[in-house]
Amino acid sequence: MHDDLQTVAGGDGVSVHSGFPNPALEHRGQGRLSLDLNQLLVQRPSSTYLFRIEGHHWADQGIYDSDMAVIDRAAQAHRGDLIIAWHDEDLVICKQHQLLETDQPWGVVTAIIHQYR
Amino acid sequence: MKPVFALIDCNNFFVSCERLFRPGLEGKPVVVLSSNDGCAISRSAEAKALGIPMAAPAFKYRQVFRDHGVVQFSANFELYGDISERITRILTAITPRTEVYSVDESFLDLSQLEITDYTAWARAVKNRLLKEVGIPVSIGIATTKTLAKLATALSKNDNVLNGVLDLTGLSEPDRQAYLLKTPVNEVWGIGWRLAPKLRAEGIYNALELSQMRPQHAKQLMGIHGRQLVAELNGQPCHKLEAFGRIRQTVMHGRMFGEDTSQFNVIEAAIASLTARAAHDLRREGLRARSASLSLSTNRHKPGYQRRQQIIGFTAPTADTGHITAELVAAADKLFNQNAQYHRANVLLYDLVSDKALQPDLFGQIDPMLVQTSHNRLKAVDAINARYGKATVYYAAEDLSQSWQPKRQLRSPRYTTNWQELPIARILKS
Repeated sequence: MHDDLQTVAGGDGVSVHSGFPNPALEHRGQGRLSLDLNQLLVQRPSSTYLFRIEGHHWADQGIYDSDMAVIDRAAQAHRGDLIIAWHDEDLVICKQHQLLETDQPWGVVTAIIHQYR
Repeated sequence: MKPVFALIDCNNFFVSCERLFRPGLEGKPVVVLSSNDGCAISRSAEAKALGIPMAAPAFKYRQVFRDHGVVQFSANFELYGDISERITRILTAITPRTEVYSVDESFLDLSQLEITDYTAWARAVKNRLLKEVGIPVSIGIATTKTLAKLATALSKNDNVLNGVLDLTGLSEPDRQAYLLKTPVNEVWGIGWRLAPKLRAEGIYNALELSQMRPQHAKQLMGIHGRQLVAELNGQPCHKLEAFGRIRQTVMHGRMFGEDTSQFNVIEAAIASLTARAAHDLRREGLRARSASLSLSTNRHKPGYQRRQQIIGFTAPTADTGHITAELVAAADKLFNQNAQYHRANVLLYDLVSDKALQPDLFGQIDPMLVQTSHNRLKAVDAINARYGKATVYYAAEDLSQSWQPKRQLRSPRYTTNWQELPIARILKS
């Protein structure tokens, strides 16, 4: 069809026709040039889950009710990490060393997202 | 190279997805019900132990559910689909030679991987999926797909095997012992129709089936039967299906929230089902040459009727508006105002790639028309993708939801909806 043209797929489904492909676009494959928060916050999509935090006890530590927690089940929990665990019939967020014998770890918190508006 | 297949099969998949976010359900009987809460489509081990069969109609088992505190869920397909994709992503990273066979089963071709101990490999994959995604699986390994399937089934509910069985590493007597343990109706490809035929011939288990003369198997079950016998003997007949394979059909069907005799409710359902089916086509770059519509009344009530109308399109299409118009016209022909309709199915088939569009013999495709329709639909899909499903819809698609299934017991869409994320309560120290 366009023998002398190259078609480069840009972000947002935009096709760019030009004699020379934009090398920046090529390097990122299908991706876009601008930074993508997913890249930063979701290292392993298949093991990453999002939770909504409930409770006001940690406001002094900068973690608020309805904040969002990014959980990676594949991450290894270390001392001092925030984790999600099964506690009785609930999923709770706690410090790793708070875990009781009967609690089962669910995943490691890798980020907390607080939206102001 | 000798082929080696692994079948990764999620245990009670839908129930396992529900349990992932509901820790209290471990060890309790749980069932997931089909849309409209009709019958059990996934059962926990505890529910199976209560004698609740697959596809058990909920209304017949209400008493059992109540007496034993069976926890019921309405199907949450968005959740199951998302979890299934996570598993597929991990398996595909292990080897691209992965065939997603169904929402909860995948075949992997292991022949090109360097694995010295298949059992240890399978154990590691099983542990990884349980830790990272949170879903328990069973894994069977063998030189044919039929044997891998059989191995997976044997590995379940066996405390020693504990969800992993490698048939390639077994001695002949051990392999035969496993075949002997498998009832013939549980062999892949032997359904309720063939099993009685085989039993009449004195064939009760997979071992006896494997010892059938190929000619005899062919007489009884056709070419499929001969292949089956060969596969049970470790001679592969079925290859890994190419993952890029073109799907053959797109089907969307729904039960009405309440049985209905109103044409406009049926019309709305058809429009909505068609919108989703046509969207599936466009997403996969396909068009349909044929469609069928079926309307049925409740199978469990007297006077059951099911009528079907088939439509051929002059040119392959994925245009929601065009297909809806044709199907509504078909519904008008089928419609019987004295019937109480229970279910509508929309099937699009005879699919072709939209890149390989052959001009119609009589030149009936108007290129301008195709392009306009294509651009309009692309715009509709883009808007819906951005602002949520069904922001833009056809007028006939009534969103009053009167025909939507009841799904009263559906769990939150934990992983696909911002408003329904799982809650983590802060644990007071």
